[in-house]
Amino acid sequence: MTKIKLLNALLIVLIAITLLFTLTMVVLYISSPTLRAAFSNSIYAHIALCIIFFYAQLFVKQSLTYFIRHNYFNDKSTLYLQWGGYALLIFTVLAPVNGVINGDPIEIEDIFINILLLVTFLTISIGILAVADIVKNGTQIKQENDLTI
Amino acid sequence: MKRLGLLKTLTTILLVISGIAMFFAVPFVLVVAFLPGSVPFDINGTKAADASVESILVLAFTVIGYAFDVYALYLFKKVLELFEKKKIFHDDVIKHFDQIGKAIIIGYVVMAVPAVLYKMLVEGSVALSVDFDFDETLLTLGLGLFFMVLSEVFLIAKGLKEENDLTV
Repeated sequence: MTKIKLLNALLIVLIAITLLFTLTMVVLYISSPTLRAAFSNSIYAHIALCIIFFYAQLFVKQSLTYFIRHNYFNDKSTLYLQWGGYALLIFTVLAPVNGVINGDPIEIEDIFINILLLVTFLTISIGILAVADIVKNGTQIKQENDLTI
Repeated sequence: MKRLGLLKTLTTILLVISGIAMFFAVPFVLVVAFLPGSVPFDINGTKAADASVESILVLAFTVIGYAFDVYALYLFKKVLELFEKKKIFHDDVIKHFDQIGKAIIIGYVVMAVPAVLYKMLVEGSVALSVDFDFDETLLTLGLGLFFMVLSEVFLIAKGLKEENDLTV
């Protein structure tokens, strides 16, 4: 339980940082005419991406909260893990698409790192979905077990 | 379980890319350390021949930390292979998940601590960056802990499954 509580606390800090980053981005955009001119086409897409990432973290955090409350296996944890996995998958797919649409400059030396990051995030998001399937399996076993006297 | 195939393919791709990088990284560090004059390009804007012992050590620790990450990825692939064989709540899976979590955390510490010490002692910069670096630290530690939590979850599930199987 200590590890899961620590992970929950880490996710809370991460969510707070994501929120803070999004708010700072919005405030800077509103207050600076230079930034407004530079990011006029992409600001909404960036905010949307931040919100999707925020929700992905929030869903995983909710899943952990239910893990702690209901002693690991329960339906709500499975559901939140699935939502978290899908949200992270959408974020992973949309982030490079947004970069391409906005014509972000691609440095040749960064291509390798970008591909590695993309595949890593894809693996993490599909990994979360696979874990959700396994937790679902565990929940069924637990329910069967609880029904057996 | 339907996503397992895709996950295994992605993990294999990641493992191959990381393996190739590792294949070149180890000889590269050795060349920088012992034959710096033969490196034809600059490293972070400085010539390899001018690289200090401290910066070579940081580079070496980065490669060691990266090796831990590759090992974690290899274990993850092994876990997925066990899942394919329908060995889900198995002792090996529990052990591998715990080792993956530890490898990720140790790898990050091995990479981050020398880099921070280098910045503090050699470059004299003690500023804590609260941008992507901090975010990256939390994400990596979170990922490591996530696998260790998974190990605990699987241990409990294994107990439940054994109880269930014993009940007629």
